[in-house]
Amino acid sequence: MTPRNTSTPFARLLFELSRCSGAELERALADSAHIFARLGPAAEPRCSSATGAPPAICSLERAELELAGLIARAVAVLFDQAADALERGEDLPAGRREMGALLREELQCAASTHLFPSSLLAHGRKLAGRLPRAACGLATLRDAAQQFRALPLSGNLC
Amino acid sequence: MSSEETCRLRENSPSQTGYEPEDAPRARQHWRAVLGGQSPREVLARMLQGDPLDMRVVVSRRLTERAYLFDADRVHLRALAHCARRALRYRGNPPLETWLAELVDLALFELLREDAAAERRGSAPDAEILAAFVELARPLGLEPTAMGRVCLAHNLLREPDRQAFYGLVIAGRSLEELAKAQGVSGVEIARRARHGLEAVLIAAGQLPGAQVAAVEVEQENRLGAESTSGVCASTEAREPECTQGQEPS
Repeated sequence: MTPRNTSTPFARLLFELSRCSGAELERALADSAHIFARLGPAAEPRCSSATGAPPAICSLERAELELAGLIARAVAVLFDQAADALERGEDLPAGRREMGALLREELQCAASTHLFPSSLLAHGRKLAGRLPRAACGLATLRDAAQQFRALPLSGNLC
Repeated sequence: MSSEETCRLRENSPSQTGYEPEDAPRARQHWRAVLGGQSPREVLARMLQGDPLDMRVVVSRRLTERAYLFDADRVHLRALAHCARRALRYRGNPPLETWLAELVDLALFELLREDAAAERRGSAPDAEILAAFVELARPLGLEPTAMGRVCLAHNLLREPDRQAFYGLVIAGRSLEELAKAQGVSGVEIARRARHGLEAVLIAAGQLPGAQVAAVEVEQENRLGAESTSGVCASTEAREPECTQGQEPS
């Protein structure tokens, strides 16, 4: 077995360890403790001081982006569920009225973040209002899901 | 990782083990005032002012208990967003400590899934994400990108393998100690740690092709099994549940 890159002590160590087994591995790990010891303190998470103030990355703006990403994804999933049900000729998983209410609730949360285009929110509300009357087309629901999914918000990857 | 040695390598969930942060009483007294309000945005703003529910303590503990190598700030932000989104519906059940730990687990599950998806797509890591790996990579002589891959590979391990590798390598505990804590033989701990080592070797580009393929097939199988078992249906719009102790995929 030839190491691909043994340019660093860590890489060399990993290669050596990969050839050990059982008690041999234990001994090798013990012998190399001084190298892994460097990783221990470095692996301390950035927030392990826990009680201190959050660092700059944990700003309200950044947190709102995360929140908006979650909401956008939830709205997209609801529209997709509605489209799936329509496609299969079934009733909505949570019932038409409840699904509409859930959507309106999510859209209200979305509006509170001020990070969603108002035209998209208005479109979403219109569709949520039509859901109980089964007055939405399949393509319209899929398109709405796609629009929410495509928003450039944190974690909105599905 | 924090040095909560007694919590480390705990296999079971907080709710199963009676987990309770030391500062839980303080948080318990304040939750109604913090989680009430008109909108998630309002809750979010309150949660960021001095961390009144000690969310950062919960994040830190869950990372340690579950033996993950993550940028804790990312986990904190995602957990805060989940907390704000569900805050208005929270009525005190399950207990606050359990509820917060579940939200952190959900955040971990989502971030791990997103990182794995990004790796599969071959997307370049976000600069903000990479920044967390700079400190971790330097002492080992690795590039932050490689360190990110190493951490992802570690996080994707099965929990027993992850706990064994983390315990032996990161926490520096002895084989005997780990074997006793996990109730298995030393040989089994070494076997699990070796799985962890193989994953790290692959990520660091140190394992030959044949072995890479074997380990990758095993990981693919595992991810497939978990995605079909419906673990943490986190994208469900309606109150997704994430059972603690379950493995994210």
